[in-house]
Amino acid sequence: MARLGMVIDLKVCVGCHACTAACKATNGTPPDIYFARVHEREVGVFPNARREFLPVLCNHCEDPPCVPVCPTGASYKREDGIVAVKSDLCIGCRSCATSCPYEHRHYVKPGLLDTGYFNGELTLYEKAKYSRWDEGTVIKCDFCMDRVDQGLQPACVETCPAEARIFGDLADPESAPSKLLRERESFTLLPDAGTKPSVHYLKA
Amino acid sequence: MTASVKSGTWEDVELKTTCYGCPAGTCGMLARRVNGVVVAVRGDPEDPFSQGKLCAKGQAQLMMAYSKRRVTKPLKRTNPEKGIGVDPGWVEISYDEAVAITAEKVKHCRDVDPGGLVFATSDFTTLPWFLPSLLISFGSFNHTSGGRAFCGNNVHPVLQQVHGGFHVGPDFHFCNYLMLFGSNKGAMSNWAAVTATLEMSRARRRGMKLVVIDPWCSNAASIADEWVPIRPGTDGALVMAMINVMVNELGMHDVEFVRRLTNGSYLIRDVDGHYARDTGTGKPQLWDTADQRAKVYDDPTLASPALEGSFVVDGEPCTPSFQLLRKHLAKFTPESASEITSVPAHTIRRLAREFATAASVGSTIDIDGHTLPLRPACAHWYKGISQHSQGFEQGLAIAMLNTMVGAVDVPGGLLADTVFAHHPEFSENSTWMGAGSGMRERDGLVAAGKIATYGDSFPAPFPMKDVPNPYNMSADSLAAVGSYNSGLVSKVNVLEPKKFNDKVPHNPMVYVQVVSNDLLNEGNPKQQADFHRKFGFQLSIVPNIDETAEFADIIFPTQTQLERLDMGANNIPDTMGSTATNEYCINLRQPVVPTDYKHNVDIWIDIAEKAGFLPAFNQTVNQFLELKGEWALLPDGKYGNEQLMERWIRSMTGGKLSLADVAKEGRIRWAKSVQEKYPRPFYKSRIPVYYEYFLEAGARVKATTDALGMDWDVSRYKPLVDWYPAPGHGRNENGFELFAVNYKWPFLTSTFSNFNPWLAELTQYHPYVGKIILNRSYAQAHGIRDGDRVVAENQRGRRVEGVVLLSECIHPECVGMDHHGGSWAKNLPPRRKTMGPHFGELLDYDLKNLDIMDGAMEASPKLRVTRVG
Amino acid sequence: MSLKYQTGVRFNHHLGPQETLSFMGEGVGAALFAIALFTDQPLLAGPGILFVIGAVFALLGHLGNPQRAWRAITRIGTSWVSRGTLFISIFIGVATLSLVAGYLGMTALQQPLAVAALVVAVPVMGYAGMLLRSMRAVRLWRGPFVPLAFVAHSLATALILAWALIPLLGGAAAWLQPAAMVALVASALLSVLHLLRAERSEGVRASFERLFSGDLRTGFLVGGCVCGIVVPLVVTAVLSAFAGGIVMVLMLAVALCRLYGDFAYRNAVVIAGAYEPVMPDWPMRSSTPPAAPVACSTAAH
Repeated sequence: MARLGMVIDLKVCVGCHACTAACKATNGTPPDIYFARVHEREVGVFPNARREFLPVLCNHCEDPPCVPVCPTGASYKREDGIVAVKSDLCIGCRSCATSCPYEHRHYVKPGLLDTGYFNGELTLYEKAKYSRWDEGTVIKCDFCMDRVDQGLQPACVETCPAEARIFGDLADPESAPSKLLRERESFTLLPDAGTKPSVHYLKA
Repeated sequence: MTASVKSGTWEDVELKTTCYGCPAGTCGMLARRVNGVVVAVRGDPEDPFSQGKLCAKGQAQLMMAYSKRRVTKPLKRTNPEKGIGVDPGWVEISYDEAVAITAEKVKHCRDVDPGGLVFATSDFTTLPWFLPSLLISFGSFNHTSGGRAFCGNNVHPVLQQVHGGFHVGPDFHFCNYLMLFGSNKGAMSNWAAVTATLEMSRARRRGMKLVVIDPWCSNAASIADEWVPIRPGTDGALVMAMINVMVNELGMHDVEFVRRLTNGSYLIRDVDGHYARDTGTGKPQLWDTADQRAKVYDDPTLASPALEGSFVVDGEPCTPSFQLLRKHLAKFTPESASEITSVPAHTIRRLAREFATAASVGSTIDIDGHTLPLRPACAHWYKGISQHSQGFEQGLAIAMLNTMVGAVDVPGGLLADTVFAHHPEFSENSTWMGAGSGMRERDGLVAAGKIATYGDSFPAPFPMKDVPNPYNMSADSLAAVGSYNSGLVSKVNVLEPKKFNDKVPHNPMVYVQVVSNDLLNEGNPKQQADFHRKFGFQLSIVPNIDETAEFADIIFPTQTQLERLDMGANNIPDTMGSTATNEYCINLRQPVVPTDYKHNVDIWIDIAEKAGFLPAFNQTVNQFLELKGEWALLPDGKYGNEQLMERWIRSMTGGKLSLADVAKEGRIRWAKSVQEKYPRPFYKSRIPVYYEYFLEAGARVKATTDALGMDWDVSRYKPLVDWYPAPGHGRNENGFELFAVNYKWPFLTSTFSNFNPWLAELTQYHPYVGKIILNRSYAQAHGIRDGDRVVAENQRGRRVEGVVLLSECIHPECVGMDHHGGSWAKNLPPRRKTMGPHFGELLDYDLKNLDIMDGAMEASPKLRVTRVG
Repeated sequence: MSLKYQTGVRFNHHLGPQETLSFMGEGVGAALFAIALFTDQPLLAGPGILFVIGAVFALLGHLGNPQRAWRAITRIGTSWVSRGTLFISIFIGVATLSLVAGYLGMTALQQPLAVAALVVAVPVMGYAGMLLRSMRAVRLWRGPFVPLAFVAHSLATALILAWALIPLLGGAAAWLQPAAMVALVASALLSVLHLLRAERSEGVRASFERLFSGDLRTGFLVGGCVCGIVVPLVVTAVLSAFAGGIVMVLMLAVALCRLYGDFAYRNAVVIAGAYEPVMPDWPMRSSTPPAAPVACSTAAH
């Protein structure tokens, strides 16, 4: 069975936020909601100091804490490992959002879709895109599963100018991400949380 | 995505266009349109620049076309008082009325004094042809662009002299050791940012080492193998010391390259520092050690020119220039450079050795049947070096670092983009396709060709030209070897003409702003406001009312990226850093969103018609677009932007292709030959390491300025590259002890992104954007805590206030700020909060802050930072 | 700046006072209903059910799509929200029926219904704690002590309420006072045990900092500890020394004090819940040149 996942190469990520914007543009997420983002911090002491970039997105955990807590079955995990939400089943209890240690579930506050980016005047683009979302539900990164089902890459992978993101089937030992994981030192986020993320990071 | 799945989809197409998220506008992109609305964009996988990738700025362009804060109707000012924060009292007027009012002002200016018009544009797509066409037909020579003083002032003139090119990039395909000086190349900044990032990523994966020299740990420095923090404005000293170590301590320079492809072997007369020219031909001479006599540089019998020794030619004692250079270099010891730069001497020695070792002098590579030198080490520099009052020589120094190991336009080295760019089929038709491209030559030295001078719009410093009396407000003629019309002098000149003995033209009548925003992108806005108030009439052609447009008398709304039609979208002819690609490509930007707005070219054509200079305009368009035969414009005709593009394409392809043909492909592209990609081994012309002609240039500038009674410094016209302290170097007084440094973020373009709600929102989540950044140990020693409100002020009392962020990632002698903040425009997106201070507030328009060689502006004044309250 | 998207410890911003109020309402309401049965005071059972119904409304208000709330019972197998919804629904139904049966004098029916309601009241009291416990991302809420403490606090509050209100209703139950004191001590002990036994992760340390020296300090220490435990304990212990009208006033004051204290305690525990920093605490760049002391400083503000 497939297990879709992603490998992010921190050696080449330049922290440019192309993924952040591509995700926003492709998914049309409402204001202040980012499925993909880039964390930044400093490490070291001058002059041996650096800024470090960490692009993050839903980890599509093998053992996702957000799915069992859902009281309605709106949160589910596909056969290929993608964790997604069926909006029409979601009652907006945010149990899933509370249970995600990575905070990759986002609640669409009632009114948010009417507010948009121009305080109540939706642009044509927003009108077209926001029809996808339901207010009062929780939304999240779904690895762009509509695109993946058409054989495309997730938007953040496609756009990454550094080719830092490699998407594929982690269950297939011959897939590009699997090979990289064998060749390079890697880690996942919050391994102690027991979630078994499908997003892996290659150390620089 | 899902929207289209829902019922009633009558359209779902992907259209080819070209990005304009940054002024370079290089990246081919695909816009997905569903039911008339563009719902997603992506890089065009067939485009050699974007290769299917797009950056944050490009992705966010969706928000610009559909913005609810655009200016939608022509506006007329009713409040005669102009100033920052003064309500212009806009009233909507009809398009025709706006054209009529503007045309009257423009016509009056043209009748009275065409030199009274200043044209400021950052519309780089139309800049190579439209701007000169309009200005020349109008009769003005005043061109500037938003933030021009911070552009490549010490990059382009240097490249024209060293590479014969206009833009450069490292050869990511073969480079193994890249040094970036004040540059974020490959980290989503600079031209062709997506291409460079992609190529650098691939290069680093295969093992290329990256060393970044920068006072601030930029994005490039953060991912680099080594970050070398340096005192601002001292990179030139570091580089000269590296060259000294390479040449005088290690002897690891490329002797044969220096001997044969630089003027290091030219004989210099001890008496005056000029070439020892042949009395008959006037050509510079060299000393051939084979038969122990002087020969002209192109003597076919020349066997082994001397690089060292003392010779007597025609009774005059002479020395090869390389020997003079070696002697000159000796003063740049790593120890003295360490004092200047704060970089440890052992680090300088190590960098020099690493660089020279990586350059692998002597190695070759076979490409397509040619055996070429392989020099997989190079240095690249940009804005961080350029924006200093003594940056010109620093650019020359870094170029010389590459020259010393022969890493110029060869595999692995620093490559100029379009030294030679012949389309296999259409090259004879126009410059854009390659006619007249290639290097020119004078005295055996590199002289930039037609493409690298934008058809002589940006004239190359060499061969030397006359230095006439200043003919425009920025006194460009006086920048004799850095002739990169910066527009900076024009502001100092218009504000204080007495400084120039009233001899530089200064008759401010009409100011034209086309999508550029000086007030926010350049220096002190209060001084700039005074400058703008001096103009009787200001015309602004903008999609959003920015800070500069608030001074307009008439505003025309114009198109955003997704609505525009532009052939040569990627700023041809030089294609903005196509060095990283193996192809030449002229991209087409075509409208993908229905629009009610006009292209700025169309607006100008209407104005020119009304003001009566359309025939002249048509003729100069013929000249700059090189429209020939049936495609040439008739003087009496009126041609819109689309017709111009059609004729341009027809003319440059000899009628073979139409606009529709190009629209289908999205571009005209052709593969580079080995000679086009690596031109240096195919040319005999030499690179200067001794700028002999600077002596003459200085003398001519002095003669001209003396005759005009102007006080003008010519002391820097020296043939040997030197390093000079900037105003900020030296003693600290009254606590003014921190150098200002500024930077830009990879997801923001100075003004382009201010009106973009997505990018504005993104900044809210970024830890550094808008903050005043201080080194932690400095701040702790001065009682400043993280998150304090502080004031940063310069010695003239210019000040900004903001929130401090303590960092380990900045040189302790620096205070860092990005140059995106401080916007006060009324029509910013509603969700955009303050983005911190306006860095430009701290930069005074003053002659002493001006690089007299190339017009750059000093952006590292000394500041004092104190806590508020 | 928004709490969202920080790199360091982030605090729970999904559950707040409204949700806490609902958790408390369910627990105290169910406990009150149980006490009503044991004290044979049907007039206390009504407020108990009302507490629970009020809590349900608070929960519905929390939902983004309350009209679909019925769906919440479809994942009993895994979700504590589902289980809670089920228990609460049954409890309200059975408890109300038992009251109605009692009112109508149908004693044969009333007794088994009451017992059934009593049985369901236990998971209703425990549900909130179990829900928090199931949110494994917040380490402060892990382990057995949050559910136990929440049950104990519910009982303590209900006992104090009953003890204060029964004289007003004309009844008497001498065991309420010692029982309340035992429950208070047990609540305090379990709460202390919870904090003592919580794992000392970065997130939990940050929670402690907020509870003991940060913005939640007053609510937690003064509200939760003093108003919630110390004052009720002292007053119930010394009340016999007083006589007259002051007793009644004191008892009611203590009841209110305890209600507030219970809320303050739970609210502090809920709000202090924190997520561990997502970024690893070691440099992610192995090729970084050896930095003398490598310290990770979070630049996000």
